[in-house]
Amino acid sequence: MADGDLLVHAYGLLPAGERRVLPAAGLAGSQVTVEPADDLAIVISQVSRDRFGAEQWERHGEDPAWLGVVAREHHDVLQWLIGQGDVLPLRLPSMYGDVDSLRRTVTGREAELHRALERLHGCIEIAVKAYGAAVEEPAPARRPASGRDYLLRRSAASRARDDARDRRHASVGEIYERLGAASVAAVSNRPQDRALTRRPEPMLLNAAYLVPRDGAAGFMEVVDELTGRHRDEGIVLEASGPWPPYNFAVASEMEPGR
Amino acid sequence: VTDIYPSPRGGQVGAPPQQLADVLERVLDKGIVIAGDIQVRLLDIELLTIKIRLLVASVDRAREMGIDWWEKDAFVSSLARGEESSDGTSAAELDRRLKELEHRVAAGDGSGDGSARPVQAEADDGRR
Repeated sequence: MADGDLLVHAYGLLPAGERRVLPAAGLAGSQVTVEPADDLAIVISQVSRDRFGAEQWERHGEDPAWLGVVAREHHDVLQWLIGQGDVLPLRLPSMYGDVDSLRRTVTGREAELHRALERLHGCIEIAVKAYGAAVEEPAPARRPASGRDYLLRRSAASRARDDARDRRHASVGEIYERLGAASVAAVSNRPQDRALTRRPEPMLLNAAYLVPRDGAAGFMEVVDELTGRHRDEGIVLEASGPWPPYNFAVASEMEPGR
Repeated sequence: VTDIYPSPRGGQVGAPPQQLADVLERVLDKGIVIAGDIQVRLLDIELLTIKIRLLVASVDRAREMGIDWWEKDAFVSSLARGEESSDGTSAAELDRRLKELEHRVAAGDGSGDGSARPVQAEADDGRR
C-alpha cells in the first residue's frame, strides 16, 4: 500500500528510552509502534485513510456506533500502557498525514509536552463518583391532631428534607476536598446525566484524582472510610481505575483538567 | 494490566474494561491536544451519549451492522438485555432531549469556522 493510503493515529506520549511491551493491536487491528521524538516517544498506528480520514470523521464523528469503537480501541491501548508506566494520553481525533508531520508537531512543543508528562510521573487516575440514594423518612407516629398540626408537620418535614439536602451537598464538598488532600491533583467534572448513568439516583460528584501508583491503596482506604462515614446520609461512593491520566493531561499548569 | 488497588467495600470498582460513557467522556473531552493535520469537529459529549442510548435501544440494528462493542460494556449490555430504564426515561423523552440539544448546538454554532466542540463551555460548568 502506498503511503498516501495511510494515516498516522497517535495514542499518547511516553518518556523516551523506556522499554515497553506494546499491545498486540490498536485501531482497527493495526500494529502499534513507537516513534522517537527528542525526549519523547510517540505511540502510533498506521491506519487506512479510507477508514479514518477526515471524511470518515465528518461522516461518522457523530455516530456512537463508529465513534464508540474508535474510542474503545484508542483507550485500550492507553489502558495497556498505563499498566506499565507513565503515559500522556492524546485526545481524539488524533490523526496525522504522516510520521514526519506528527514528529514535527511534537518536537515543536517538546518542552511543554515533556513538562506535562513529568507532572504525571509515577501516577495513575482514579475516578470517584458519588450518587445520592433516597433516604427513607420516618413515618409519623400518630395522626395529626388538627389542621394546624398537619401543616406544622408538613413544613417541618419539608425543612428536614431541605436540611438533609444541604447536608448532603456539604458532605459531597467535604468528600471532594478530603480525597483531594489524599491525592496529587483533583478535577471535578460535570456530573453525568441520569440518561447516561441509567440509575434512579442523581450523580452528585464526578471527580478524578491523580494518585501515585504506590499511594493508590492508601487513597482507596480514604474512599472506604468516607463511604462508611456518609452511608447514612444516602451518599454512595464508587471508585474506578486505574485510568490513564486523561483528566490531568494538560499542556499548561494554568489549565487543570484540560 | 492488573488492578493495583483493592475495591472499596460497599462500592464497586469498575476494573477495565470501563463503561463506555466514562471512556467517551475522557477520550473526546480530556487528554492533551496537539493540533493534528486533520481538523475534525466532533459532537458535544452529552449529545453523543444520548445518541448512544437511542442507538442501543435498538440493539438488533447494531447487531445487523456487525457492532458488538456493547457486549463488553455494562452500561450498554444492560440495555441490550432489554431492561426497563429505572428512571423512567423513555426513548421518546430522549429523542426530545436530543432534538433540543441539537437545536442548541446549531444555534450556538452557526459560524462554521471549523472549531472543534461547539458547546465546549457547557462541559466546563461543573469544574472547579
